[in-house]
Amino acid sequence: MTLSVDARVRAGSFDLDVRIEASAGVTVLFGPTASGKTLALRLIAGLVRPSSGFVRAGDVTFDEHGTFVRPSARGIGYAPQHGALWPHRTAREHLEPFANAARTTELLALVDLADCADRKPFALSGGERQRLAFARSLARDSKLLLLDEPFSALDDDARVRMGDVVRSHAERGATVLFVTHDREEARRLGTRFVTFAAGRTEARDTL
Amino acid sequence: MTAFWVSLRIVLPALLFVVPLGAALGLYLARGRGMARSIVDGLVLVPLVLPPSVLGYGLLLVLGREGTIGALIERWFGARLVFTSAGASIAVAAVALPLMAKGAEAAFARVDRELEEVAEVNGLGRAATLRLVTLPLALPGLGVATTLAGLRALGEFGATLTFAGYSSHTATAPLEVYFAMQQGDDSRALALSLALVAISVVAALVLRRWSRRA
Repeated sequence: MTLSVDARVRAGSFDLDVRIEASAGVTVLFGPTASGKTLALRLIAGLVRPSSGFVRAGDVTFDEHGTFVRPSARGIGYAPQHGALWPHRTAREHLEPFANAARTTELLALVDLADCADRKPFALSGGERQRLAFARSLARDSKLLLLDEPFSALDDDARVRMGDVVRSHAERGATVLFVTHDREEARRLGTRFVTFAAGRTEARDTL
Repeated sequence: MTAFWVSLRIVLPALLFVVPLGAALGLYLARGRGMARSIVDGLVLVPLVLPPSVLGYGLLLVLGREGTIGALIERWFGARLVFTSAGASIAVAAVALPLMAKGAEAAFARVDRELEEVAEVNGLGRAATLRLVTLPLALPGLGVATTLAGLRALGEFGATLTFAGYSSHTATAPLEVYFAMQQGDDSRALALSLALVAISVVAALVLRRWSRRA
């Protein structure tokens, strides 16, 4: 799926002029803290509206003038920055609304949480919570994945393993937008790069 | 004891109406925006700030036998609300609804929007998000709101007396306290009052527990 964004978006006093062209593969959104990377993901997810411009995915216009596709109908898998896990639901119950029992078990194993299936977020470590949020974003096997610093709390080994999961998902045809401010992680995962600075974006082939 | 049965027969049907409607209003007030939300917010508060007798008089003007809607109800259905438990339920509901709505608004406002957003972006529709995320997280707060509305309903006096009047069908515990006193039956007034105090104390303890969880 080809994602195409050319839009202006405002959050408080911050203005972002965002241009992203992404197709199957891992496109890394790279830049310092508070440079608008999260805002760009929220725009694509439909959680904020652009003041002008458009967001398109394949032949579908997500957002432009009067057209607005609801977030739930965009076919997106999404892991927000701090996980946003549901405190009242166990790890397994985070995946069940999106996947059948077999796929749920498979996903929990994939992110090394098979032993934590019946634990609620408060009983999980920071890394386990991030892996659960990541698993939830994979549950529907979406063709468009938005991952906002999904592995910032993981140790190096786990980062590499989860990175491999992201890459294999992309190799099966998914368009992945991966936000990070870790240059090494960006280079390891990215096939294309969009850098963020001073409210603007720039597309690059290398970082 | 009869007075408490009458109270229950009036309060419970009122709550069956107040709890879902108040929760829905609370959700709208917590999530809605703009002018329409402000107007609804203002209207919801009116019964809370009006003297109950004025509210009861207003109900009488609209739903009483001479009232615009009351006359139609009597003509079409041959039913009247004044001096009936249904009438008392309406008075009680009108007084309790704002407490339920404002309590529910606070309960829903405390639910982190991001927890709902992540559900929606990952593909859950609004109804599923409400069922799986919003309602379970708001539940303790909704429990507090229901208890407050229920207690207000149980203690309702002014609007009930003004609109539904005093009859065997509408003689709730608070009304009975007043009329027992008027008739010089102090022991009955005291017994009913103590029972109401006991219910309030128990409810306050339950509220404390739920408030901590909310």
